[in-house]
Amino acid sequence: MRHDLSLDGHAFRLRPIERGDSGFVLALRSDPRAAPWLHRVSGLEEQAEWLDRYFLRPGDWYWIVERRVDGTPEGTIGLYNLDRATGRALLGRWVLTPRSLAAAESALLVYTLAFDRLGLDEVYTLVITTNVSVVSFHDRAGLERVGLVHDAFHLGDTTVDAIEHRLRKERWPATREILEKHAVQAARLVERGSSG
Amino acid sequence: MTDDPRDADQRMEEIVRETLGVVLGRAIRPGDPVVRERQPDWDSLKHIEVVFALEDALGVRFEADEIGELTSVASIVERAGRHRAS
Repeated sequence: MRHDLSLDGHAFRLRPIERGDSGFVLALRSDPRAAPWLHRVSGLEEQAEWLDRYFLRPGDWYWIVERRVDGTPEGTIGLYNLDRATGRALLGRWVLTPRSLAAAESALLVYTLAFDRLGLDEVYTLVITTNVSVVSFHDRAGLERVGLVHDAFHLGDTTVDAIEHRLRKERWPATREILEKHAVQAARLVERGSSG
Repeated sequence: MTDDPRDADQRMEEIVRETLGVVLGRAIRPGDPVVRERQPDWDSLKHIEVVFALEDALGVRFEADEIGELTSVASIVERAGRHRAS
């Protein structure tokens, strides 16, 4: 849905996605290193139309992850499938450019928005079982493994299983500490700039 | 006499293997096919630890745009070698 929730971190910020980001999102999700884990989008117009539908959908927040210093986009992240009765939403659409150092900070920022701004009680994630580095990321960040979800996603002609993690509000401070430490370290690396 | 650069590369590879072994929590032997994409525990959080540990051990400082390329023993040795040579 259209929203105005933004948040700055050390090196990165989350800002609401716009229709003009369609090209970036399409390129991001079409990268061969990310594509195996994602639903396929055929083209720019389809991506833009998807965003048009998203703008009308309540309980759905979608952000661009960008560098604070110059606004370069490095990924996307979202919270959706909001269950207002339980205060629970799904963290997903989390895709970063292959060399990005924004993982810790983008997670930190989205949990901050979820718990401290939106007042959610729980955030959960569903990660395809073979996407081992993201499963490991959530384990290391202190999320609780709920279990295996069979046929969680339809990708092309197949269905795939996922591992569900969750973070409850009570455990958010411990996860914040872990992610904050890594976000600060990553920011030190980002600030070095490029070798040209 | 000058040092044989192959000895320096070999020593650097040993340091890289030892450092990765400490951070990833297991011994990495010569020739082990350690590649980030195939290591479940070498995730984005662990990668930051890997980078700082390597910099301390090797006495080099990687540029921001190199950090995502440090994905195997060979690529780390190659990148670190460039810094030592410059």
